[in-house]
Amino acid sequence: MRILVVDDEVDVRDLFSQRFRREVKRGELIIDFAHSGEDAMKLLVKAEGPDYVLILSDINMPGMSGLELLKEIKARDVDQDVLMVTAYGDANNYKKAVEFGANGFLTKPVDFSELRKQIFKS
Amino acid sequence: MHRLLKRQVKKFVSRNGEVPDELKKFVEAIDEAYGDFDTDRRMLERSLELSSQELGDANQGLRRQTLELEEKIDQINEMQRQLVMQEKMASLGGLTAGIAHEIKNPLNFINNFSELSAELVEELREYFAPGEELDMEEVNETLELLEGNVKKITDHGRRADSIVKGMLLHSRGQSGERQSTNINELLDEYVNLAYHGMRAQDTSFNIGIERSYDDDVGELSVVPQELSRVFLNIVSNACYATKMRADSEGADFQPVVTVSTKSFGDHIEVRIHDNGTGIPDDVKEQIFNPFFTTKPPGSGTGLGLSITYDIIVQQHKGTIDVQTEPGKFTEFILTVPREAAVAAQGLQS
Repeated sequence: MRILVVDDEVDVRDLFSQRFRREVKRGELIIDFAHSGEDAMKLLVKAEGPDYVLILSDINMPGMSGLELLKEIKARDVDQDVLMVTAYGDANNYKKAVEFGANGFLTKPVDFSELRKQIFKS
Repeated sequence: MHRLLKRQVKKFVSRNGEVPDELKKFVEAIDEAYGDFDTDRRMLERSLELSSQELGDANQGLRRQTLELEEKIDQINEMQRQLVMQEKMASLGGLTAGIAHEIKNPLNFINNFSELSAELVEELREYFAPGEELDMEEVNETLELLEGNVKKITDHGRRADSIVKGMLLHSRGQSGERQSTNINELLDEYVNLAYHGMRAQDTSFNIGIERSYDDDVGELSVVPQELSRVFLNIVSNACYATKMRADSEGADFQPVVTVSTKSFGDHIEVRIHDNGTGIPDDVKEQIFNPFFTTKPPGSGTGLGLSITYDIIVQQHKGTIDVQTEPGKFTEFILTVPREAAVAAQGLQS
């Protein structure tokens, strides 16, 4: 299983790697990271690019926002599961995320036991 | 003099026994002349009396007016104080979402890395459980992770702390004292707050922020809460200008705000560049005037740049230069001397 995490905060890499350390060690999970929406798109448009069971994206990032990334991902592949993560869970963001087809909405601080359920349900 | 003359005339008359008609007329003429003189003098005296009374009245009037004026000045000062406060609160209101965002990010790391650390401690305990073969490699790996996590918790705790401090400084009514401040860090912090504040109001708006900091800028003796207000004002304006241009030009336009610092020995320079709507000449002349704003009613107090000017030029003895081309860009160039002779008294706040 492979997931993609998109966030401009660099420590997100360490956080996810540790949270899923056992799964990663056992080879059950591969986590890719992108630090902007633009970087994420570069990974996703590659012809031989990996398949992700889930993409997690922060909403507020400099440059392309998470909501726009969501729109582009869904435009390319409507079946790609995308979870939105945001620091402030305001109604406006939530509405837009749902409108653009997000498969879930998490607010920071991220509840990893909840997230683990979402990842491994598939 | 009049009486003396009359006595002389009488002496002269009594010696001869008769008074010649000419002399009689002469005396009468003198009497009349002196009578007129007395009347004139009395009139003069009277009018002098009147004048001084009028002067006294006028004086009293002036004193009253002065008191009224002083009262008015007090009222104006109080109004100004309230307006400056309002401007602060207005910019703080716009910041709330930015602050929420900026705090939640470090909190996310603090909560998660401390939970992870607790799990790591549990793992370590398992490694050392009696009967288990001790795998030092695993122990060391766990210890390294723990060490890294503790450092991250500290870093993000500091980050949250400085955000809250900045917010308190910003809302505090009192003007602060100068203190040694890392200019790059202060600028970066407020660029983030302005950016997230704006993004919180309109999440669909995209803006690229480019930063280029000169490490030689280092620390300067400044009043951090005042300088942070300057950064916030100019960066917010820059974001607003790019948004205005994006609204009129549509999707092809890529809004970018560039902030940079540079050290020049005796002074430092901060440049805030945006590729927004630019400022027409007639507007440029007025941007530092109090209450001048091009924003729609209720959106701006018109005090942001006026306060900015006071802080940079008067308080920190620096300079502000504005380069702009309508429809293309605006760049604010601030300089602050290293040995900032910060005005003994802070700005009225």
